[in-house]
Amino acid sequence: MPRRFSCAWLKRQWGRLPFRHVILLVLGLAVVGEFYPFSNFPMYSNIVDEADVVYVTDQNDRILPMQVLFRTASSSAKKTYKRNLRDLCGPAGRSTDEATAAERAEAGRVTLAALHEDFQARRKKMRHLPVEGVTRLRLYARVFGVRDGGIAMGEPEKLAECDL
Amino acid sequence: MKGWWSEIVRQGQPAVFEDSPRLLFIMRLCFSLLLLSAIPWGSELFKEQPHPLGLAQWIDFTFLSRPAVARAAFFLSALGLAAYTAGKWPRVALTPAALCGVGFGTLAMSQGAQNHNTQLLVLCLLAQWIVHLVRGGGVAAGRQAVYWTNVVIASGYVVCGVVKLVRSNGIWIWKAPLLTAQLLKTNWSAYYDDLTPLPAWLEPMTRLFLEHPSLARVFFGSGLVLELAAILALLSRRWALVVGLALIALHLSISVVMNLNFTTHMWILAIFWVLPGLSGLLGRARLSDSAAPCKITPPGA
Repeated sequence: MPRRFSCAWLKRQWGRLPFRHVILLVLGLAVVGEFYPFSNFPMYSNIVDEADVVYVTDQNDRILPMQVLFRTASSSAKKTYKRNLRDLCGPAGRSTDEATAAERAEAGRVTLAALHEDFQARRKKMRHLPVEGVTRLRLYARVFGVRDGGIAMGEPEKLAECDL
Repeated sequence: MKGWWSEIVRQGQPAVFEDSPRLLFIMRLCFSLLLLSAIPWGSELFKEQPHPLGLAQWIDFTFLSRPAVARAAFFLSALGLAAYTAGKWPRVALTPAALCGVGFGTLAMSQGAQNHNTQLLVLCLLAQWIVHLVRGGGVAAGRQAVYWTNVVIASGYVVCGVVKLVRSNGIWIWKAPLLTAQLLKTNWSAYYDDLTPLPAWLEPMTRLFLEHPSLARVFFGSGLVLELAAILALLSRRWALVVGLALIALHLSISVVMNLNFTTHMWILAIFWVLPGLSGLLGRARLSDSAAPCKITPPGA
């Protein structure tokens, strides 16, 4: 090995590298990925032309405030739904975009069941939740897309339904 | 070597972070309060780990959902953080908070709805804990802990920008107009949360971005540039102040436009980048007002 590539040389070069600690940590975080508390913070890194939301309605399709009833945001419920959908599609090697209607319904059913459980726990503590006249819960998904320079708002898809 | 380039090359030496003991105390106090308010101290709802993440793949953290355990953990951590704030036994004092930060955070993230609100906070805590485990207490160790906290913060933002570039094959800014769909999604999500009417500007703004994609590229692209520029905060406290304020402004604008709140991140920036920068500026202002010293020295030097 030439003398200039010795350990001392490498150490010197490392010492001269600007922002070396940040570079090292950035590489580490990028390699480790999501392993709490380590993260590569991938929010909005994968830009696609579609985005979807989920929401809950009563038996008459009247929209219900999710944060108030379930102490869960619509965005959190969507992440849970997507995670459930990935669990169903993953073993078959398909992405969630390729999920069948039956798989979407099953993922929705599991998501709604968890929301319902949260609601029952919350109901025991809070007597005045705004659920007068509500007998059933429905979980819907809705897609927003950018198509040909305009916004395309898809028809809501009913994923699951259960008794309150 | 003189000038800004020499600063870049020398960067990495904690000498740039010669904060005064008083400033170190204020930072520790604010950081402790932030930890106590931001760590997800358990929820009775987290009785399972349906989607185990990180250590939850091997460890069952659901015992943390018991109210008695959560209360004891909070009490122990608060006690430790009080000692840490006072500069006493930081090696031991940070241990409960560090373990609780990882444990409660992992349990919360293992419910299936993952977010990125507390990762940076707990990473900062781990960095400080490790420095104190290695170096013990004292002002020098405190300064090094703050330096590594700064490294963690900068790395968090930079890796966020790098991942955007890597996953988009370098054309993230070019594809940025498609984020208009996300703009709609986040605002509609907020509507479904509490039925607050959609903001009046949403429709005209989405139309504007779609009709003028370059405007969308400038708007969203400036965020990416700022994330990558976070590395400059390690040059000096002045750079940290400028970059910190810019990132806080970015978070505030995201909060307004996309309804995504990164309150913890803003507090971290305020404590470790903005506060020391302002303190340095005020210190210099006081020195120049008195006109007595001809040489400006950093506080605590």
